[in-house]
Amino acid sequence: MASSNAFRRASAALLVSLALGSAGCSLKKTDAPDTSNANWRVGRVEQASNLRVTNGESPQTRMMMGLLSGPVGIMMAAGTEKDLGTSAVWQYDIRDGATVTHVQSFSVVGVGDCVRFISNAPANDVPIERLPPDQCAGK
Amino acid sequence: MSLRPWLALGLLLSLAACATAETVRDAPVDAGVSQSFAAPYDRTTAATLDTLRSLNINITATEEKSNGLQIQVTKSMNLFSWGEVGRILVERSSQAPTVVRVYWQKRSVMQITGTGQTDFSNELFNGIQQRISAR
Repeated sequence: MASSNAFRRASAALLVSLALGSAGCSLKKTDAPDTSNANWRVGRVEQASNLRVTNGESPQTRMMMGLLSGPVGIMMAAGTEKDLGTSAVWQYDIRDGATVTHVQSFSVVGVGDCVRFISNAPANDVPIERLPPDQCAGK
Repeated sequence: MSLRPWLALGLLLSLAACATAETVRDAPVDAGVSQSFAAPYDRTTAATLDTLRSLNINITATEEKSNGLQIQVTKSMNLFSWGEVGRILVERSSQAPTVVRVYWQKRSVMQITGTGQTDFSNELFNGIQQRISAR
């Protein structure tokens, strides 16, 4: 009886969270950063590495929804990729004169590349753009 | 021996057939829809990533290969959808134009709601064009 009530409470909580999260149906983000007037800096990439971070998608919520949906839902949830909920992101050290800035980004650049980047962007995904090498003369 | 249980199992398996990040990533490179942009490769990759940042999706991986930049994305599950998975390929070119190719799938074959490939690619291509035109 107690476990049945707990299951009902968990199901209700899940449905409420999914209903609240249904703003995710929209394709456009409402809080997207505006990079048009951002503070771009130019530098040269000194070091690059890759790491995994969480991205907000929950395998547990998917499994719970699958359980509530019956056999097809369970098979759907079980067939989801194992690394659901994580992203592989790049970390770079970028030298701009005497200053080395450590950034995290989904942009792909190589060590030695001349790049421009937004120094005041959200820390989890800094926009980086590769530039022609001559734009880093003296960097 | 009755065929009914096997038919039911087959039906169940076909209904549960789903797209995953792996199936989309490993799809043929010419799968999906594409659009050409009058900008060099590096500018187009930056505009593509900037547009993706403005959309309600998760970038799960980015990788630069000999044929260009490959971006893996997912759209999270919500009350009306099991979510979607996609791959964006910015094809490497030595000069403009640069082609961006989108392959996008709903996770469930049964799903009639959620974002389709046409909606997603239109939103992405419009965003890339706006950013390229703004410079």
